[in-house]
Amino acid sequence: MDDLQLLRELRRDTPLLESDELKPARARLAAAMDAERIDGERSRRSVRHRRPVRRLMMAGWATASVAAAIAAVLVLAPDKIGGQVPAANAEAAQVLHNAATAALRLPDVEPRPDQFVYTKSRSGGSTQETWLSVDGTRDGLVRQTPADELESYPVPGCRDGRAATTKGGRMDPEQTEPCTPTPAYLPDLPTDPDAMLDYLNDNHSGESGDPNAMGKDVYELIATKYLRPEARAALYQAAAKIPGLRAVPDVKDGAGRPGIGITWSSEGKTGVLVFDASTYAFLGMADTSATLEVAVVTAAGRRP
Amino acid sequence: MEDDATIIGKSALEPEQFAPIFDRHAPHIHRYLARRLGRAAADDLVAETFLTAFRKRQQYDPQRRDARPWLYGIATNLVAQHRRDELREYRLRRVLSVERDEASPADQVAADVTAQALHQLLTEALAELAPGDRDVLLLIAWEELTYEEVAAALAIPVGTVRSRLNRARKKVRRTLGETNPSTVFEESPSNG
Repeated sequence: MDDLQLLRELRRDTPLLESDELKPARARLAAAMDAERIDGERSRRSVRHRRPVRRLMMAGWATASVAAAIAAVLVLAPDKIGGQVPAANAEAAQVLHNAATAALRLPDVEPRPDQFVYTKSRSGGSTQETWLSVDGTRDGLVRQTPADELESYPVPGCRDGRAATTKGGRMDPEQTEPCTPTPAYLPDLPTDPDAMLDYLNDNHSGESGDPNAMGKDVYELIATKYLRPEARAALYQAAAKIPGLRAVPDVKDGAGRPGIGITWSSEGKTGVLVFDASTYAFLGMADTSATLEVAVVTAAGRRP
Repeated sequence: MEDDATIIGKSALEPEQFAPIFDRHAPHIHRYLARRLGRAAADDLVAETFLTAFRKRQQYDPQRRDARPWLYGIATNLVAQHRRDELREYRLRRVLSVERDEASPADQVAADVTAQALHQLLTEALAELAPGDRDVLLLIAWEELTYEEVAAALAIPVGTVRSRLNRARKKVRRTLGETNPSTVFEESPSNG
């Protein structure tokens, strides 16, 4: 058997989904198609009622009619997407404001560069504990507990632009690769909501200005970084300003804990951030993950 | 049956016409994403892939009758944004070892152990490849795209596809060979 054949064997068991399993994804596309169709018809009916267009990029659009072009641009601003209930938006913003207020009451610990951020989370039936270097230069650790079986693997720190490679769950300091440090704590995060919004806009993943992608960036910061109370509060306040925000009632996080959901996704229950309905603490991502514990510790492998 | 280019062209003015593109290709794009990032991420990113395609449909080159390379390209871009998830997925796969049935005959156990060791090595080799090389290798090995389709998907020349593939395969073979010098690999004929 040659190497390509061996590689094929590696993922042979990945199934092709039936169409009903792809329904949630198809529904998201259908919502986008509907939104364009409705907006397209509206703008054809009445040119005067055409909405102001935020980012109209005509270059490269081969034969698009003006109506279709405008409709396409409107998709980028899902606060305009049909079915958006203003109450759901106000409620979602309120959840985030309450979460910001609650965050300011959390104890303020400033991590030292040589420490580690400990996170215990749950996702898909397995518990994961991570120790990630505060400044990204120290070797971290991930422990996965699937079905009573304890396994761990290292997260090599990045020193002087090089990180050890890993092999069989062990680091090989002889073999290094180029890297940039990934700090678990960003000391320079803004503590002002507007500055935080600028930060999100400047450091976005996905398409620029895509609220769904911005929602994921917010989640990434909450779930994978250590945030001090003021930065956390600023992040929640900034998140409340991202268009397309809505509340989703009666959701559960990845550990089954109930809460209030907020999302920027236009369809279904994907990408929903869950907050505790009374304490407004962040719980996790609906049906996907749960953040159980976050702490700053002095060594990788040490529990708080 | 209408080809993809015709459907995408019609959807410029009638957005709902875009749906058959999803129905035709979503299962394969989902499987590709699941192979690279795991099931949960694939469920989300398959939707992102088609939303991005839908938004960019007016830039689609109508000369390309088959939309698969274009969709694989969009999906691969999304994988790039989730590089950390991908490496996590490889680590997870490494941890979740092949389950062995204690009651099975000894030679079957031996075969399972060998297969498991091989899978671990391959997974490690993949994790250590340069991202661009890994994209090319996996589009060819897992998704069975031709060199030309990979070139179109990643917007790189066919020559670059060849050189990336060679480099990636060499590295994979080296990783496999290092641990098991008796393993002999014949050159496979190119599929491109």
